Amino acid sequence: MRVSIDTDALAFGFPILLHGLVNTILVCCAATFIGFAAGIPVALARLSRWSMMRLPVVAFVELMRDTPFLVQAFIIYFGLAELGIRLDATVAGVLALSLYATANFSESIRGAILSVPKGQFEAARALGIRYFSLIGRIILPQSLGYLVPALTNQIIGIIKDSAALSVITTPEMSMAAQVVVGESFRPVETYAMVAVLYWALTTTVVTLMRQVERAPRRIWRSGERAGVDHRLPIEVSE
Amino acid sequence: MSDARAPILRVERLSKSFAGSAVLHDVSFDVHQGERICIIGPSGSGKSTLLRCINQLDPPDFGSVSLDGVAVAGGHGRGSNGETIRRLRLSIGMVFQSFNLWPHMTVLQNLMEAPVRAKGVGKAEARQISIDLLRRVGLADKHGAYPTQLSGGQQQRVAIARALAMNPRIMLFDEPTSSLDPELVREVLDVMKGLARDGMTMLVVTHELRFAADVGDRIFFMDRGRILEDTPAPRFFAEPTTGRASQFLANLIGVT
Repeated sequence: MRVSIDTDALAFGFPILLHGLVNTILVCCAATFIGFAAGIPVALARLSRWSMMRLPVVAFVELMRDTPFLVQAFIIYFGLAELGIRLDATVAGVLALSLYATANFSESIRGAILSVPKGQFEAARALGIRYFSLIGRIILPQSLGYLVPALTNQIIGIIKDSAALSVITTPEMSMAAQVVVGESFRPVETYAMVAVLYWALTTTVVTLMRQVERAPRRIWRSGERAGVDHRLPIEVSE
Repeated sequence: MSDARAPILRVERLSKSFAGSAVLHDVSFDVHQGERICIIGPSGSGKSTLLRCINQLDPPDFGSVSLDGVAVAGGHGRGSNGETIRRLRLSIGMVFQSFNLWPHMTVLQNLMEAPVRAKGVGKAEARQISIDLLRRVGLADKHGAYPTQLSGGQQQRVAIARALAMNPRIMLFDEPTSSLDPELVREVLDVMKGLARDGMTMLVVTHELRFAADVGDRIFFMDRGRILEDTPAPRFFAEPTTGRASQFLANLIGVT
């Protein structure tokens, strides 16, 4: 039995897939930035000692983390349509993926904040430093070392899960693959190319994030940390 | 200001429990300008908690803390009067056993951070104050270093300078030499003695009895959440009034 590779199908499909890849990158970048920006307040709310802040956020995060992204995408796209909000498939895709990213990033951010020794918070509080300066200038910069490796994994997860957006016709790479297969009837060649392109994208992200990871690993990370009360339970909000 | 005898710090009926067990029990005292109080006692006697309740890092369950007549009452839970507590802290310097310098900032940045961010001091002025203080603790040449590049003794001297950069009314020291190698203890105590000579009002939780005897005006001997003795230092070391204090001293002297 011979396996034949249809090079015409490759040549036909490649530009369409490349266009889809660009969209995948744009959608994932948007979701990553939105998810990171929104993940910080969500993490802080979850660390709050006020249950009015904490409980809604816990519900949101657990709901997003414990259900398949595919289902979430359907609910957002068709659910909003039922409510009379008709979103462009791309906008709906970015929205769904951003919500998903927010929930996942917020948990990594929360873990990174908790990994900063308690004494670091206390020193800042004892000096009268306000909450947002404390978080923004004292705690988050220190937690980057813990945060970046976790975020790398989650960004890769987002890239892979973004393929599910084809079900709501967001024009990303998996959607493009369906179009190509519909024209060429060559699913194996097409999806092989798709796999290679996803792999190239995630590998690029891993390489880039390694560079980011090295950046905060300056001199203060190399030495031993001052302090004996490492990783005691803390309350972050004041 | 008007009354020279008005205390800087007044602690009234301070009580604190952790998980149902009382750590501080109805503690009251006054501290006047320039007084140096050393707080000694066995571990678990509530010494550190007392300091931490004064600047509200551990919010007291009951009682009040007044600094220059401005009171913060306990028992309201955390965050109920956040801005009042923050203002209180601006005037109270705290030095921790574990230094707690910020490792991602240089020594100079550690000193400038709170004056600039919490007190609104201009950067140029904060830098000048910081450099002067680093000179005072003998570390002017280390302003560009990161904390992990310094010895424990140097880190603690930076931490003292960081607290002083806020120009506090009173300084709290929570076992400042307990996590230091023995040969590094002296340089920190010397800085503290210098502060005492300059008239800083200080509350020092310490196990360094010689320091307490040399520098302390008053000794608080604490046990089980109470101040059992509040005695002038010479008298305390000559003839402690309580049996518990004599026993504590005898044990310590027996060890050394």
